Amino acid sequence: MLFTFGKDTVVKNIARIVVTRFGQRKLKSLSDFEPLMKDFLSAHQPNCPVNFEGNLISAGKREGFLNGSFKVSRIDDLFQESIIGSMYTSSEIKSYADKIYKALDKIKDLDSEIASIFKVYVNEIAIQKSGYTKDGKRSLGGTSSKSIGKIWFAPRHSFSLSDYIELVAHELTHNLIFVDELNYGHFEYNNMGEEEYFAKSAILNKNRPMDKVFHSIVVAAEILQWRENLLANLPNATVHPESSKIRSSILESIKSIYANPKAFSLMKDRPKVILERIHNMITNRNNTRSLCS
Amino acid sequence: MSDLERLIESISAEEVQECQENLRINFEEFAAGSRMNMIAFD
Repeated sequence: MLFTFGKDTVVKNIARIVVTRFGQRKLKSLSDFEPLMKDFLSAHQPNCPVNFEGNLISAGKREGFLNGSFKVSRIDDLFQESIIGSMYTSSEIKSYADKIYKALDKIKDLDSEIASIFKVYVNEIAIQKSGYTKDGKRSLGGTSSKSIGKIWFAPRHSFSLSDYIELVAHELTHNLIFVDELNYGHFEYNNMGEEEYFAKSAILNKNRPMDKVFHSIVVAAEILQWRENLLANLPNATVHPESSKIRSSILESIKSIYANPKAFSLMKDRPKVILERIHNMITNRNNTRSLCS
Repeated sequence: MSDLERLIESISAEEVQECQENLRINFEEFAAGSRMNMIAFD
């Protein structure tokens, strides 16, 4: 969203919510949106406490939102309900929090507007271990549409600065999509959990519900653009596949949606426009590269 | 006028109405339990 449509689009999505909820306001900087967005989220997600305190990263204090927001889903296709794990040790928490703050500082150095947008969209990052899914997988983090503004990270010792930055980019993108959905509406949810409505996800490469497939495509496309626009001078991250693999997965995933009329039928207009933009971006790049080579 | 002020002023009554309607649907579907919680574990 941030790169696929540009900063103005993601700022306008917040502005539309603020104007809709609070009326026209004279706001001079992006930071003026922060308290208004928190007020909106308090009312819109009454069961998900907004972090009005100064510290962005929580561990052992406000992690309760993980248990409330990340557990109940009508379609838990990967048996993920049990994935929120135990606490890290206090020294691990300190070490991981320092690394996340370093990643946020680096993002601010690279593009201060993106750092400001992050602060408007995300009011809390919780650090907690990942448990195991029924197929033995562990997660690196997550987000939930019931807790917009919240991110969960389950870091590992081996993560580099680039890894942390890509994780921030990844989870920020989920939040950008959630807020876009609040603005425009993305899906008809009635048949979302039925397997014949599934398509292939771009990141996990599995048949999954359409909302997750859509998120995976947009996240994958944004990761590519973060790499091209911001991270070119940093060592490669390892938390996502290499870019050529991501590009082919995105195209395969979009193809699987268009190949399944039932999956396609769940989309409202907005996600179709977003997918078309991403498809054009990838194919134009591929065509340009093949012409040049 | 700043770019941000211009962006806010550009929001039309139709856009506000569309946003209002989507917020209402989103809130009511979650409250009624008819809307799934989209959990992105990656």
